Parts: sequence; structure tokens; C-alpha cells
Amino acid sequence: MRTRLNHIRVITAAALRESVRRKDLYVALLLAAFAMGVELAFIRIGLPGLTTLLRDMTLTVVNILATMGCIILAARQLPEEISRRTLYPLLARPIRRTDVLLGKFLAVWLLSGLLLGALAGGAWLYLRTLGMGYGPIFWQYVLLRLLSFGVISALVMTLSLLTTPGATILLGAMLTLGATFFAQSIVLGYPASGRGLQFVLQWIYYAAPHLDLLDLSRKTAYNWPPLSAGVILTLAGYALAYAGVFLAWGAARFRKMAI
Amino acid sequence: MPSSLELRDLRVEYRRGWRRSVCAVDGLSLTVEPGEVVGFIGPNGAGKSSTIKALMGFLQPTSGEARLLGWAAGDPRGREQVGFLPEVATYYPWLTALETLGIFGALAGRPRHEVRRQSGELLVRLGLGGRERERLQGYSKGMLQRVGIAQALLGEPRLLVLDEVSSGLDPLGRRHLRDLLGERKAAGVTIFFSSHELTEVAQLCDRVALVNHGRLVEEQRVSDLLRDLRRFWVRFRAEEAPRFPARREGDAWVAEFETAAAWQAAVAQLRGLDGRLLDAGEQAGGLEDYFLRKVAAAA
Repeated sequence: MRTRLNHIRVITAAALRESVRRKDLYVALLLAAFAMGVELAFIRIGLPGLTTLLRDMTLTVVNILATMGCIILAARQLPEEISRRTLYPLLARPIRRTDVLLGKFLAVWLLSGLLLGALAGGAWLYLRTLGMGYGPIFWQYVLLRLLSFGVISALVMTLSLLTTPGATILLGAMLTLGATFFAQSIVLGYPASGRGLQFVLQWIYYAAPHLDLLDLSRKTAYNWPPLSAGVILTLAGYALAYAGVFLAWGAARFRKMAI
Repeated sequence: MPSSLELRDLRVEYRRGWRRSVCAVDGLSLTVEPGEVVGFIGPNGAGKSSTIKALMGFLQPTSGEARLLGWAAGDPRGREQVGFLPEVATYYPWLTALETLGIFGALAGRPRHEVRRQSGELLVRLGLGGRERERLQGYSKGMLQRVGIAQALLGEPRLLVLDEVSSGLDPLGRRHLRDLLGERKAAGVTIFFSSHELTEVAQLCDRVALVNHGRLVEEQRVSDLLRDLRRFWVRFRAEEAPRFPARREGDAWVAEFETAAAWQAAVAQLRGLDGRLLDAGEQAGGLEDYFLRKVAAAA
């Protein structure tokens, strides 16, 4: 067990070091700074309900950049190891394929968390400076977003073992950024559908992860009171269970995959 | 003591579309004993890399069995004492050579200080001294191959499996490689490698296994092979054509023989023809001739 943990640590550390040196994360931070600069123009114009609008816009920017960062990082981990042929000498060592996957997953989750921390921290400071700071629910928003990145990282890494890198990023973006839209479409479309389609929609509704449940950005923008600890714990369990399911799927695929 | 490497009736097929499949390795059986150095040769597409992939557990064979140091291919325990070099890897462009070797050393379970010491030594031996702290993105193909060789040799493995080992190396790099592999051979390490550089194969190997179309064409000891490949020749003058096959070269005849006995008989016969024998000798044969002849025969 100790050896396996050491293998996972080595893979995570290598992926972290490489991703930080690639400077991709800095691009997201620059884009965030640019978006927040644009928001300043709204303040000059002065609109009714400006505080809520700016809170909402800021979190939307944080959500999109951090989620895309997470998707891109997850989508390229294993395909790049294969295309550079580094997966061969890695797997020639006494390491299990599952441990390579877990190491990569942890690296992506940590990096996405770092990106989220930097973006959300910047947003918090920015709005606080403008006198429009978020309420305490903001920290619950950050926590649930971080947990949703666990689900997204696991899902996208599994997709990267099933399809091409381009398709992985596209599918990942559709499934995560469009999660709320898909859930609402199913609810709206369900009554008008035939019995067969209703069965399929029901199945999809219960089987697919509801990432919208892990998104408190609107509640944060509208300054809702914090959720109870029980709700947060339930949602954390929900996210970890889905991350586990996707990782198990990815590991099963990776173990049998010819490279 | 188990064989270092064992392939039994190995078959590897790749699916192409829904119905078609291509057979890359077709019932290949081969055993390599501890301390042996075996060259795995064959033309492009002969099935060498697929065999090595099945052996290392990178793909599941369609049928048959592959074992490494007594363990089934794919079992991590079998890879604990194996060094592997893949064909043309580019490694981690954002990491340095030392950092890259640090990853592979740590995965082999070696202490950090030992990995650092050994990595430094190997990189110097492979001609990368002074550049070990540069990122790999600035390395040439040959330099990356040297990093690959260093990672394969890291941790003193008992078995080395090297795919296209001299690919991209300049003559100096090949010299370094030959020296390092020679030392490992002397230390009793088993080496199984594929290469198109037949000179390297002839210099390093105890045995060669020739494959074509996924099948083992022939397995021979290199010393026997080189003896068989020797050619004997004689140059002489004669008014009439001799009783053995010979070709005309200017005003002389040249005849070649596959065996020393036939050559000696011809020389004796020519000595009888007073003063007409101009020259005679023997020439070492090359693996290239053997390779071309066998591949052509197996096609």
C-alpha cells in the first residue's frame, strides 16, 4: 500500500510540476483580470441592481475559466503521455495503471483547485474593494465548486480514454458547462414525451451527475444565507461518489486498453 | 531460476474496423535465459514492437503467453527488475533530464540520493554531462534517446528490454551505448533488444532471433552464424574454365566457396596447375547478408 501511495505521489508531483511550467494557468488568470477590468466600465455607467449584476458576472467569469482550465488539464494528461510515448517507460516500472490514473487525477484536481483559489480569491478581493463583497455563502460556493472539479476531472479523464483529445474537450465542456441546461431540458421535455422516451429521460436524469446542485454561484450573487452543514455534507458525498464512479470506469477502461 | 523472458505461442491481432483484424505476431515462441544477450531483428512491420509490447504488458495478446522473470506479462512484480526503452519517446519537454530520471527512479522504488547519483553518472557516460539541468524541449532526437537509455539503465535492472535501441544516435552515442551495454553484459544482466543496426547486434549479442510476418524465422548463436557466414575465395589464371563455378575478372578467374573444405580442394587443384594461383583468402560475412537472404526467403 505504501509503495502504491508513493507511486501516486510521484505521478501527481510530476504532472503538477509540468503543468505549472507550461504556464496555462497564467493565461486563465490574465483573462480573469481582463474580464474584471471590463466590469469596471459597468460601474462607471451605473445601472440599477449593479451590485447583484457584478457579483453574478464575476462568478460567471470564475466558473467558466476555472471549469475550462480543469477540462483542458484533465483532457490532455493521458493522451499526451501516449503521444509522447512516456506512458511506456512509466508502465514498464512496477506501477499499476490505476495508480497512474489516480496520480494524474489528483494532479488535475489540485491544479484546478489552485486555479479556482486564485480566481475566486481575486474575485472576492476585487468586489470587496468595490464595496460589493460576497456574504459567507461565498466560501460554501468555493468548496462545492472544488468538489465539482473532482467530478469533472474524473469524467474528462475517462472521456480522454474513450475518444480523441479534441472531442474530449468539446464533450467535457458540453457536459459540464451545459449541465444546468441539460437538467432543465429533461424536466421540461419529460411531460411532452412518449412513454419510451420518458423512460430514457428518467434514466438519464437519475444516472447523470447534477453538477448544477454543486453550483451556488446564483445564490452567492443574490447573497443567500449559508446552507446547513448537513446539506453541504450530502452534496460533498454526492460529488465524491460520482468522482469515484467515473474514476472506476476510467480505471476499468485503462486497465484493458492496448497502448 | 526462471527464464528471464519467455514467449509461448504468442499471437497478437489488431482490430481494423468491425470485422477485419490484422495479425502482427503469429504464434511466436522464444526463451531468453539469464545473462544472455539476444538481438531481436526483422524488417519493418515484422512484429518486433508488438511482441515487445505484449511482453511488457502494454497490450493483451490474442492468445499465447508472455512471461518476464517468471511473472506473467502485465504483473507489476515482473517489472521490478526490468529496464525498458521504448521506440522514439520524447519524454517530458518541460522537465530537465535529471528531473525526468528522478520520476523513473522513484517509480522503481530507489532512494532519492541513489537515483540522483546514478542519474548524474549515466548522463555523463552518455555524453549529456553539463546539460542535465536543461529542459528536454531543447534536446535533439539523439539526446532524447540518450535520456531514454539512461532511464532504462537506472536502478541496475536484471533484465533490459530495449526497442530500437540505437535509433537517432550518432557514432559517438553508439559507442557510449555499446560500452554501457557491454558492462551490463559482463555483469550478467540479460539484454533483449531490437535494432536495425546489425553491426551493433553482431558486436553485442550471444544470439539473434529473426522475425518476419510475425513469425520466428530463425534463432542462431551469433558465433555460429558468423562462422557460417564466412566466405572463401581464390583468384587464378587458367586457359580453360575450371571444374568449379568461377567468374572472369579481366584476364583472371575468381571463385567463391561457402565452406573451407571446398575452398581447400579448389586451392589444391589449382596448385597442381603450376604457378597459376594468384591469390586466395577468407572474408568475414556480415549479418546484413544473412538478414537480406533470410528475409527474402521468408517473404
